[in-house]
Amino acid sequence: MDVNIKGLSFRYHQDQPLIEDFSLAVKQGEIVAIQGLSGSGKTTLLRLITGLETPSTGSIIVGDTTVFGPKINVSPEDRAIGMVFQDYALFPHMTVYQNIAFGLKGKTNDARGIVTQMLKLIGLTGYEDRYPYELSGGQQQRVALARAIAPNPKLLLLDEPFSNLDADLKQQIRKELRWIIKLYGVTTIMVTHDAEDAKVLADRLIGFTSEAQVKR
Amino acid sequence: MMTLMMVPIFGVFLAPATSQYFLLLETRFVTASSNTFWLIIGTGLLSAIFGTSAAWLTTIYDFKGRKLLSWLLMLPLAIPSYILAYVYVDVLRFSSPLQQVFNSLFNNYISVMSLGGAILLFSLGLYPYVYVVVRSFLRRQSASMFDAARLFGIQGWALFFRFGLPLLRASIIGSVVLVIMEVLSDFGLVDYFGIVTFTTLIFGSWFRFRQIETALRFSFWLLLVVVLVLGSERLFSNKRRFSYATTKARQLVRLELTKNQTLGVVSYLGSILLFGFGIPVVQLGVWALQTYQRSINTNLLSAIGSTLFVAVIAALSIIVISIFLANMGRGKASIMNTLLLRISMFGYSIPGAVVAVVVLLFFATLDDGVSLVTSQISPNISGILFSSSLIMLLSAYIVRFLAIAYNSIESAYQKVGTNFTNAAYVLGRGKLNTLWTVDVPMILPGITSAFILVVIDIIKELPLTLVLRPFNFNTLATLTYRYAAEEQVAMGAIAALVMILVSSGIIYMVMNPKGVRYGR
Repeated sequence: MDVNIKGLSFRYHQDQPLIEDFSLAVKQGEIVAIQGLSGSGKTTLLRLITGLETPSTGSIIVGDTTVFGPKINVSPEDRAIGMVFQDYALFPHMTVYQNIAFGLKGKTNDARGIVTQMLKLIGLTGYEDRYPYELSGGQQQRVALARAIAPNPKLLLLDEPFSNLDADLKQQIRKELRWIIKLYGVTTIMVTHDAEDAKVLADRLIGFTSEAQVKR
Repeated sequence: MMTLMMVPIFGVFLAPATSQYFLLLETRFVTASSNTFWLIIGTGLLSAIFGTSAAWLTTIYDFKGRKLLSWLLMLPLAIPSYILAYVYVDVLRFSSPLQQVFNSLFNNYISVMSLGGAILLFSLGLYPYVYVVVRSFLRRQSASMFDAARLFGIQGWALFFRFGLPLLRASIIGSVVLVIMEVLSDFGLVDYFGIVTFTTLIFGSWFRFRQIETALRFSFWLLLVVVLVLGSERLFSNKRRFSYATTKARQLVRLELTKNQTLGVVSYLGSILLFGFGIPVVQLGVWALQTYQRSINTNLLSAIGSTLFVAVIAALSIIVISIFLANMGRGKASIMNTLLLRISMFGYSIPGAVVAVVVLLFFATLDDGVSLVTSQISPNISGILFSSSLIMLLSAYIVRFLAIAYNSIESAYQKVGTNFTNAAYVLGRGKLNTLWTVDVPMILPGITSAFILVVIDIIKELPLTLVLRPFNFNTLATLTYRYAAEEQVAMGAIAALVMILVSSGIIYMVMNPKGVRYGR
């Protein structure tokens, strides 16, 4: 699905704007990496797109649906946007199976089929009854990705997807991740501080500095 | 909530006072003030000494029996102060063996029914508050601090006075304030000893004169004391809330005590436990054996049922409200948040008697409204709907104990953070669904401890229950009180023992948790 973000601005209360007049167009199936220093507002940008924070102005259009715009603010649960959180946020009290199936409730009759397919895709068949703490960092990350794409989102967001992984694991997982995303053809926006991540994974790289940093 | 409660209390000063108020003010006010002052100072100091020394000795040092003692020392929390009073008045009656021994040694008698006696019993029953808080603070400290102090050659008493005391100051003061709140709230013990305090004046105004206005006026004075105590806490401990606490720090290596030192420490801690828990439980046991044929009756059984019923219903409602409140204030720095913080700080510090009076007034007003409506329909319909029902008692429990549960649940939420909840929203789950499938399972430890704390408190609660219970409705606490008031203390022994047993069991479970841990 094409994604179109126009003139997005955001500030915390009375502070200086953290994000001002940000625009970005992403084509169907494209992986775009946004690279910036920590504290530049990258994570906030993703939270704005998911609807966890509300922009002060601007519009966000996913496919042919306006999820945010003048007088429109679709709540996060209705936006059909998948996200892999920086710390994965896997539910510790649920098994791998329950985690991946979490977003499927009420959306499909074939939850079991989809989860099985997902597990195969991420190479974790046989792990369905494990709890997150029984997995390695790399495995947790793949489960988080599977959980995000299982409901077939219109847009996938990745927040610093490799920051919790060891250096030698990174190289392998970057390629794996790209392969899975491309296989699915889901439009993806990732944010990272690491140029190397962006190069390997993304089709296109854009730099990102917040207004606050420019003025500093 | 504090402000809400204050409205009728200040409002009452606009109306002219009754003659009883002036009479009580003239004859009792000075006595009540000075008694309250000495109870606060005495119990504050003594419980600080008991609690801090117990926490210090069981955390810094290692000796035989330390593990057992460290959880046994919490047990006096299971015995309400008024039960200690009933027991010790009998144990120290003139003809008792203990008094005979004391008399032959010092040619004098111990009088427990005095201000000094009250201070001692309050301290024996309430020091666990200080013990628990100081102990958990000490356990979170880094060992290298202690090592550094030792390298300077500081040890033994000096280690405590030069290093420990300044470090612990804020947590001691904070927990002593909790103790003082309990003392200000107490009715059972001071009533039995005939010590006039603001709480007994509030109760007297209501039970003897049926004058809620007079009770409200004394509530004002009692609240003033509360505000003074909270104010002085800030004065003494402001900017001294050390938190060196870190999880990365090395665990404390306990210092071994020599045999003689062990003997001294164990006998000191053992005697606190003996007087605070051992003697009372044994005495209650003796009474139970003497009276069980008469005291195990329908009254007792229905009191057990009623106690569990109100405790569980109130605790569940409190938890639902707390979760709701905690969710409203989550992750937002707003006016709402500040307000909730206030509730969590003040709610628990409003004495039971004040809550009782205000709740009583509230429902009486509500009933007046109802009667006004029903009398229009038919003069035969009674308008007394709330003020004789359990709803009134349950609401009062909620007002009084909401803060404890809220604190526990709020801190569980803080530990979990907002990421999981956000992840659930993004995965398409609604607010309620997320609450049920993600939030509640994750904050379950907090919910459990909130439930336990509230249940213990309600089981022991006396003043609120006395005023607000429906006719012929008894909890274990009011049943014990009634027997004591009728000078049949022994008849209440089994009720008291059931109370203590349930609370002790709960304390044991909290101290030795076997919960599920998610290894994140």
